[in-house]
Amino acid sequence: MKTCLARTVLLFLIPLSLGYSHHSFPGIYDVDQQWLLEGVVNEFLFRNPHTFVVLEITSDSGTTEQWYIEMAPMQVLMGRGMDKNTIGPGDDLIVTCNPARDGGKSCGLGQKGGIYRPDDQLLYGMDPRQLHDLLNLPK
Amino acid sequence: MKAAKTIYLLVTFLVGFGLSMTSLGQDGAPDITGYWMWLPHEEFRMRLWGPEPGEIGGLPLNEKAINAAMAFDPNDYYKPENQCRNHGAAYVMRAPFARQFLYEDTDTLLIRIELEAQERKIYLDGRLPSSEEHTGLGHSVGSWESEILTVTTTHMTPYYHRRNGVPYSENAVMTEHFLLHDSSYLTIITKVDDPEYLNEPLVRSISFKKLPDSYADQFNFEYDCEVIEWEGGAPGREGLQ
Repeated sequence: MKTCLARTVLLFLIPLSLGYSHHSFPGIYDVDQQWLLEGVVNEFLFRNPHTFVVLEITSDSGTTEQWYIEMAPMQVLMGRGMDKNTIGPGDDLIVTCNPARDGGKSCGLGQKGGIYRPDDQLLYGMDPRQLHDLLNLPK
Repeated sequence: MKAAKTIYLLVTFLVGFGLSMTSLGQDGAPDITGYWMWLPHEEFRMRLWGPEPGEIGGLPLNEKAINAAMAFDPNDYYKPENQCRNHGAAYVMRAPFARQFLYEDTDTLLIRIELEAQERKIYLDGRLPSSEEHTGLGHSVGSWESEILTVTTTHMTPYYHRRNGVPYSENAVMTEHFLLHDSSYLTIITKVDDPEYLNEPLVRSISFKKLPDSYADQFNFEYDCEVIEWEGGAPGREGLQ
């Protein structure tokens, strides 16, 4: 029973977190900042040691930027029922993540990070909409 | 130096003294085979998320090691030559994920590490390395004494004690004592001697919980790494100075 409980806890913890075993997550990303990004997927890099969503974000002024959303390794995503075809070019995504410390256009899906796809309610990690509400951001 | 050695001997003695009866495995040695899961409550932040840049407290580092750690650039992990570089022997047993212990043959204990699907071989016949080549996991020889497996690892390539660049050298020697607690918990006491970077031996311990073999299909001991050459050296860093 205790073992089952321990494993259950581990399974809850592992999916988002273990992706950052290769490098130190706070070494790359500022865990004190949580950003909300919305954009369109250019590419889903389903690869080890880390998976990435390449997201095209359009600013209010109409300019576009390409951002890299770093996620867990392949096997962790597979454990959550995802594969290389789960996310694809053209998908609209809402993402919560920790921005890169060096100001690069990358963002890590940290402890409170998550991805939400409105079209089919795909949710991975923490729900970005909850953070959106918590921060009382304009809708 | 003397204090560290005394603490090391004392901890080893106390843990060994406290060992309960364990089930016996090969040649009467305790049965260490099976699946072992890391304990998330033990150094959770450091093991899972990793250290902050420059977080080097609690380690007996000399000036050379401190300078190296403070100069470490975490974005180096994204360099093509580093993206698929596995963690080294003196770090990898502290990483999360599961391990599987099994005997490859009577003289070789295999430790399969779910992280990066690495495989450590512990030679129990005392054999010398076949060459002077250094590798990430090095050359490990071990022997059972009473109920403790002692493993000495040499010939490691330089790597990090912590993922923020706290270094160890190719001349580092790692001594590990594997201790079973009533067959359900495993503690590994590790001592690293490395005068190039340490003022005194680095002594730490890490523990694991035994899981039934029925959990085997929940682990993934396969790992294929794909290198991508990012423009600008790391994803999203194009144009950064």
